[in-house]
Amino acid sequence: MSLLEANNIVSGYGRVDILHQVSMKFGADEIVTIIGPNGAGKSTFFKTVMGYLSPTDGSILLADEEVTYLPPDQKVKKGLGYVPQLDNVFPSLTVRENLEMGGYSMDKEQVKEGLNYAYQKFPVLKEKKGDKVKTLSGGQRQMLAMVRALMTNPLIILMDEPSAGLAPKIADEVFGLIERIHVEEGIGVVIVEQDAHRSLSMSDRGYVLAMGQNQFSGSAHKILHDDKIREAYLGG
Amino acid sequence: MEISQIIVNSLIRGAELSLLAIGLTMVYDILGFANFAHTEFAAFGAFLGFTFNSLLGINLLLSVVLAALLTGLIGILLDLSIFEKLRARNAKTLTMMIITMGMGIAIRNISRLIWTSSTKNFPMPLLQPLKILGARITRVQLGILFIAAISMVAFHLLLHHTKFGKALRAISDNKELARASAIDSAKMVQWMWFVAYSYAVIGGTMLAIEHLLYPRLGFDIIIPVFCAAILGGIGNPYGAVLGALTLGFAENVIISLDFGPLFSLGGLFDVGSLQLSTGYKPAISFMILILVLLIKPTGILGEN
Repeated sequence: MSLLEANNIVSGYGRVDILHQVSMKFGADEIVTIIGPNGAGKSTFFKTVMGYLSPTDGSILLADEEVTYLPPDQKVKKGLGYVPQLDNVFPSLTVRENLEMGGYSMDKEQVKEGLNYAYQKFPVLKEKKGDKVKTLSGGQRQMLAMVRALMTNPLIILMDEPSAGLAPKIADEVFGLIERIHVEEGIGVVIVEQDAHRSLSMSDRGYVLAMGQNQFSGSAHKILHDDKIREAYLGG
Repeated sequence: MEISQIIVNSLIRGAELSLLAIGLTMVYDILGFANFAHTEFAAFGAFLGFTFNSLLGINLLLSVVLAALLTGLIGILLDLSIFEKLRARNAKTLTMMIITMGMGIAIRNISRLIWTSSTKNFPMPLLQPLKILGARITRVQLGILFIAAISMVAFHLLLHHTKFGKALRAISDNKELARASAIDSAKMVQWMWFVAYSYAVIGGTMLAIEHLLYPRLGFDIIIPVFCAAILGGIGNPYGAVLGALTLGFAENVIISLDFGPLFSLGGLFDVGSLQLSTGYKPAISFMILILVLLIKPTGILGEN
């Protein structure tokens, strides 16, 4: 059963539509990767699902409830987690404060529990809890960004290019972390990714988006081994 | 003038400007526009305090607190009725700025209507000034320094040790991510107005107590307050305090300098003592601002 559904979404910036009737479904028990060339509308899709952009047509359902026009903070409260691309931490806040912001809508006790849980699972964050984010390495930053999103208690997390700007070895670690979060926390994960091979190889399913339209969807294995898609979108 | 006296005068001026510049810089940081009505509300609040104190006979400290709270509430109401609606329509920064200019003119003339254009004095007891290390300082001035210091500490604690302060810093860092953390930005912005105007009223009242209270007070201090905020690095509240203190010292040091020896060309001419009139204070603010920005365009604590 799908937890998050986007049906026939038409959306864009101002009067320019980027997405034309895009439909996708995501479950809590899967990792799904959305691939597509630059400008295909992948980030626009995430921004629309999150509520930063309002769709001009179509609907968005979260746990069978219509949330199409809810603003981001309301969607987050209903269980939609989001890790934006690159600018995904609060640089002038400490590691602890970043996590506290993730738990903003919770009461004090819940935040405390969340922090303890995060520190226990990710000891590096405990070591660095009093440090400003500026002192973290690229991989640690990405970890903090994800754990901040986890603090919002999501049912499903959208991750926009988690490996952007990271060295291949660090990117591997980040993908390992995503898998771990999915398995250990039982949270659905949707990834938009440039490094499509790496991301698809750990995904259950995938969508191909091009020119703002659904081009293909199927099992990740199928996408990875489909000659046409490989040639067109995965660099051969 | 004694050095200790210059230091005392500079600290007082710096303290007053700080409390005013903090709010200006916060609004710029969070909402992205310069609020030209900021100092007008400071003067308006000072008038409210004056009314509570001298007309209703309420204790001075309590009057200032009441005036600060009331003006803060007006800030929230104006955000709800005007700025929030404009934000929802993606109004341009320039539009916002021009609206604040109009708002400033309106509030100044409302003050004029209620309290007339005549200058007012806070009723202060006349007491012998104290002498500290050669500097003369009145009990009122000591009170001003004390309250300014407490206000600054309270502001720091607010920013770093309350949920509101942390959320405000988070919004300042990254608005989109703040929304993805379920931070209620609209509510935070309203409280920010409250804090900005409350602090402005404390600063404005201090100026009025030390000098005079009149409807144009807000307009007369807008230049040094803007200079302090920009000097310290616009958007950074600590920068605003540093900028205000820098300006306070610069003004008082330059005013106290005797340019006589410089123009007598080593005693060739007898020009007596030459000092700048205090009327040049705004010019000094600008000079310092230009010099600092030439060296560091983002201001003292500003980041690129």
